[in-house]
Amino acid sequence: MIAPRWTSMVVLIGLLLAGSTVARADDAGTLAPDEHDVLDASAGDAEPVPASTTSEDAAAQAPIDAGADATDEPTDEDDSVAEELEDAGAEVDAGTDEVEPTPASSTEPPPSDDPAAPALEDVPIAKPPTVEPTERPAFVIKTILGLLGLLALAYVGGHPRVQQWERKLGVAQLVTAGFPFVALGLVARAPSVGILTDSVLAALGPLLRVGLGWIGFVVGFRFDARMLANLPKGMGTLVSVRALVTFLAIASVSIVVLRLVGALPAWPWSDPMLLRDGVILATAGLLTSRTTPSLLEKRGGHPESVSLVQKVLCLEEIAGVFALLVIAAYFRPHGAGVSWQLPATGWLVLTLGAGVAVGLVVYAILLQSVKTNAESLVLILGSVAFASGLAANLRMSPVVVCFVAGLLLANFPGEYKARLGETLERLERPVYHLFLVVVGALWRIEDGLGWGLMVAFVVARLFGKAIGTRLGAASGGVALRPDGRRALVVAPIGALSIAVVINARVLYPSGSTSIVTPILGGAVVTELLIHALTRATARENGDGPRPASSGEGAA
Amino acid sequence: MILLVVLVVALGGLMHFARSFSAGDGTSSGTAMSFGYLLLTAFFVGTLFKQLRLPRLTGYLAVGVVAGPNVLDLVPHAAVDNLQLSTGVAVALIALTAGTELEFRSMRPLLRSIGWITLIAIGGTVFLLSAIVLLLRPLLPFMQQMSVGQSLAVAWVLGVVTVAQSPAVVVALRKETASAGPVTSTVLGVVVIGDLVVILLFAVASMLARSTFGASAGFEETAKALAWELLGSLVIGVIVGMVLAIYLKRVKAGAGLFVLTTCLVVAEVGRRLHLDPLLVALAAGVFIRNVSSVGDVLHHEIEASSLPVYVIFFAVAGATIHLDVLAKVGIPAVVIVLARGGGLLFGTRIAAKIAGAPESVQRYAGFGLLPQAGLALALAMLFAKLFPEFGDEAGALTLGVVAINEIVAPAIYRVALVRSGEAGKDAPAHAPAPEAGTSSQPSA
Repeated sequence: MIAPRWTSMVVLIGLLLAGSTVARADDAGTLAPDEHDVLDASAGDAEPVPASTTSEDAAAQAPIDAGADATDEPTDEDDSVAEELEDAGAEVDAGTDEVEPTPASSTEPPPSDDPAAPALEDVPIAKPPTVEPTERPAFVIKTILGLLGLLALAYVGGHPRVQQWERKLGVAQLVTAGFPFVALGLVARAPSVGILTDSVLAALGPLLRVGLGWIGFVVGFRFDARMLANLPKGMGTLVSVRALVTFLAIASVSIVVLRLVGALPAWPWSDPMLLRDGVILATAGLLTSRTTPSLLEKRGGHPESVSLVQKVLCLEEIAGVFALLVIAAYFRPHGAGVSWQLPATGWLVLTLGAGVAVGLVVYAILLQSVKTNAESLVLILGSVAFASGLAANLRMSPVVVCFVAGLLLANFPGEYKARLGETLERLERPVYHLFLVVVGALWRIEDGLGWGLMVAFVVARLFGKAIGTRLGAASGGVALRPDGRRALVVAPIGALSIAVVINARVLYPSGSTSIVTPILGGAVVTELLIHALTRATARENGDGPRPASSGEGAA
Repeated sequence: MILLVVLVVALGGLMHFARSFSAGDGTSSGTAMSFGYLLLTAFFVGTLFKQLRLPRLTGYLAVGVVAGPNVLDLVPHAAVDNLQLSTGVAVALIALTAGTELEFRSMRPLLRSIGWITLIAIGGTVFLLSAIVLLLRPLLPFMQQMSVGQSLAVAWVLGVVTVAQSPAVVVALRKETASAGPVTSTVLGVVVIGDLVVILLFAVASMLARSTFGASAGFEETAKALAWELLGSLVIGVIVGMVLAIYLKRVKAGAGLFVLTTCLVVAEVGRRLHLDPLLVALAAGVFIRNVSSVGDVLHHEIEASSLPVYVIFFAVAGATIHLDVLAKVGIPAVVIVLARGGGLLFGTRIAAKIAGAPESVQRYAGFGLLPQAGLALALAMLFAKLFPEFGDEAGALTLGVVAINEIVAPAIYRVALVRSGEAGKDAPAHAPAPEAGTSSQPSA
């Protein structure tokens, strides 16, 4: 039998193969009209420029700096400046379109020249042209070879000997965690390979949003509210202190690194964008992979420790989703493409309301008309796609909206849960792995700032979790066993953390690209750290090395 | 039922609410939202229709029509365009299913009937429709300036375009009603072969018609294009079938996803290469069913994921129906629909009698030839492109005919299947072994 991860990879390659046809077609033709849209809109999500920048400076920076008119709150004056610049031929057309909202003075580096922008931007999707007759034979041959390649890859990947090599090389845990899919995205995005081009990524945009929603839904659906009723004494304090310390440690370190090493040293400390990026990283960092308890169990951890770790992680997920809710509500885009202007608290309520509404609708459907697994599949796919699209359309977080819907469905009474869970499980890995491929394509691995940030992030996270766990356990009076403490400190980064940063990139597409590396790179480093630690512990105890995968599937 | 209606309204309200925020038509979020909305609402309305003893797929179509750009505009044009990717996959998957259902050995007794029906019903109706178009000439402004020769040629092309059937609807209804028997098999065989015949006839007729308008875009070029589309599709389909068969036999795991991937590749690559994805997938399915030993496995894998595919396919098809066109070409379109129906029903009856087919085939098989969908729409659009001088107006007429048949014919065919006594007779013979979590098609 072939391993599921390889199966999914085969599927992904197939999708990429189909996508590559778009890419080739694009390359053959002239600039598609939609590509103009992409460029315009990329500029359109303009973020503020340094306060010192004058409109003349901005004009000089055009067309790169589309945020020429973005200072604090957009004003009529700002709009008129933009109009003047437009009239003057400067390409600042999008400056009025979408401006980062800022409660206070805001400055941000010029919009990054992000090659992954098409997948993140919410712009019309490009239409690929057809292939010229002269190019068809080569195209057909490539396609057939691609299909044969998939077949061979699936066969080889599932072979026991190949899996044995993975274990010998110590990469089995990374493979299990889905990192080959991130690598696949990275490779496919490389200009020399040219499979995941701008237009393909733009076409995969809906998938990215559905993937985010799917992760949120799965996490929400796994949360059993009854757990809250049986929390051990002091658990609330442990989780709060641990989360707060970790959050503050990561946020402060990230802000310092971004401020000191970032592209614009003139960035003021009080800049909300600086705060936003720090908070996003801190939110992603406070979360821990769902697989930690099972990993602990595999290592022979005490059942009490396993149970306690599980509860801590569940509560942390709630904290993380809440933080994401707050970020999305308080850092709002506004401008010509957005017709509602609500206060931040309004967006908080609206986000929760959307999640509740979707959850209630799905619940009613589940009770009424879902009798088979096929119907359950339609319902889940439709609900997550609808909720994710709705959230993204309103510039809210798909993760949060779907999380709320999933949470409600997990905790409402009814006999549908087993079937729903089964359907979710069946689609979980393919959706997650496909999501990882797109994430890999969005990852700017050559970004030095990101790697610097990654080192700071991993260290801050480790120390934050260590100190937070110690302080929290002491102040809450929770007796932690050494194995449980170790699991909480050296904790793998999970799907939800990745979803948090990608969600942030979707919400703020022209924001800093450097926030992705700390999470993806940090996830790899943490996995290796866990592997090394497990081997060391096993040696100390005189046991043979045990497999130490975090086994991160989805969520 | 009331709750279902409330849910449909609630979903519509949410959709309207979200769209009032920003005009994100055709964007990633708008497309994701439209996909989810159509899937959920169509599923609900399909359930409602089932309770009203109408085909579920008519419900899916109705949702597309009402929520689509022509009525409520909850799903805008741009989103419908973006969703064509999913319909492409659906067409390939449906064709693959149709192919796996064409087992030559078991169909041998029906081949005579299929041949005669194809010849008399489809061939005869082409001539009938061409004649009707000529008779309707005073009502068709685009034909009034044409010479007799030109009119004859264009009428022939229109006759071919409007006679096209829909394997997709036939397969979907067979699944929905769990039908099995001579009527079901004969209809499936006729619509599949009919598709090939129509594509061939269209190429010849349109080439002839273009020559009457002085187009010298030669015989050789058209013949090449035709050969590429027909033969290329069939050959590549066989290769795809071989790849699928090897995967299903050697690798096995994740076969459902691999099949979906293959359908995606077939749909996307095929479309850009001017191959017919329907023919490619059909050939692959026929190859797997008749040459390999994994036909049942493939059929079972497709069943597991087919419901969402059908729902979204028909909902999007409904959203692409041009209701505005119907208002303009209403009378001629209705006349053509009636003539087409009469021709196909009468022709089938005569042909089945000549072939000595069972009484049920004589009486009910013709109804299976009435539905229209993808192929007819594609030909109508191709027609408009080939004849830019009047193609848009003529295209409007054919789109009007397709729209009426798309909405009405599935319900009629469903009734025919029920009356023939074949509905509900499909034992799960195709499923080699029920697998956890992959059950079920909706029942009739």
